[in-house]
Amino acid sequence: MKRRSVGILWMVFFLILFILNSCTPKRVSKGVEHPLIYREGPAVILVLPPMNRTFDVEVKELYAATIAEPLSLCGYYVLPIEVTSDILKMEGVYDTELLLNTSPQKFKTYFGADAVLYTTIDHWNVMDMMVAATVEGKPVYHSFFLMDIQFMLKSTSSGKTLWKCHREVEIDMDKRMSFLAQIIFAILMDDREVFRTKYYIDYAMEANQIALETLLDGKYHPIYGMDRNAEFVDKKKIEK
Amino acid sequence: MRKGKLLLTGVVVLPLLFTMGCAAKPKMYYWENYSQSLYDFKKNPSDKTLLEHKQALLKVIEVSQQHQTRVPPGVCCEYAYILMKEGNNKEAMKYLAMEEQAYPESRPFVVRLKNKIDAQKK
Repeated sequence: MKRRSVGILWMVFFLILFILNSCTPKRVSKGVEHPLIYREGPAVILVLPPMNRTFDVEVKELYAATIAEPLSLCGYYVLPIEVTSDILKMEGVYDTELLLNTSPQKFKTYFGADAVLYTTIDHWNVMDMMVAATVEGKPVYHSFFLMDIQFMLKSTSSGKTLWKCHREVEIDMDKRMSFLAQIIFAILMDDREVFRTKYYIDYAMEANQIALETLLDGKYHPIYGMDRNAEFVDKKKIEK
Repeated sequence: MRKGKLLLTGVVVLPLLFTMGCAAKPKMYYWENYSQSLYDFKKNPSDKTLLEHKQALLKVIEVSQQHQTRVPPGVCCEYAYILMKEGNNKEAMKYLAMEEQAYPESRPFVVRLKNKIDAQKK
């Protein structure tokens, strides 16, 4: 009888251990997960306009304005997005969807790019949650920046996919403010839009940076060539 | 006496070490207000927003030079492209050369833009 209950206890213990283990996101190393990018070592990246699956037409502009900085901080030479987009438009290419069947090798000839970054945006907006109301009845909001983005980096030499990543990023936009500060803010600010416009770009850039963290560092990064074993959490949803 | 000296050294050296430890790491790039000015220009294209974006690009170049760091990739090229569109080809060539010097791998793209300027001249 005693032996039986000990057996059951062990089973429960292992079951809990198994559940806990399967709930913990696994950590993977950059070099193991994306060996091709390490092998080819692209330096020049051409960023194509994103494929926008949201209903917001401004998302393309927001993305174009906020991707160059975080991508450059990963150590890559990012071709000037404004210039390359303009050239593509002159060639009659307004949507990246039109380029999906184009061989990536063509971008090597035309722009001197080593790799092309294709981006799909499924979600990109700010969600306001009313958390309280001031004495005057003004709502106190808590805002979140939400982004669902997919990256695919293709080599212009081999045509192979060097790196890909799908991330849902959620950033608490009021994390720097206490609840009391939020109430004061709600009393003083008539238009929350002003707050949004002021910080929207910063949050969009932070979200891009988070989404790019699984990318291996390029030649201009101080730890270039040394981050092969650097680990990242293999998790789709990132909350900050 | 010796104890006093040691104490004095500790008072001077420790805060110094602490300050050194806290000293900000040099930045990789100085992007300044680039994203915001670019977004403003794209959202409301006008002479005013274009001028503000041009000023933002120039500031990125100036601040990077002040800190003796590399100008972020593409910035000189983008500034040169705006100058090209305005017909200021001589200045544009100067900034294209700066881009090529900072990033040798930009050469194929820079050459393409230079050829565009040459074609405009003819």
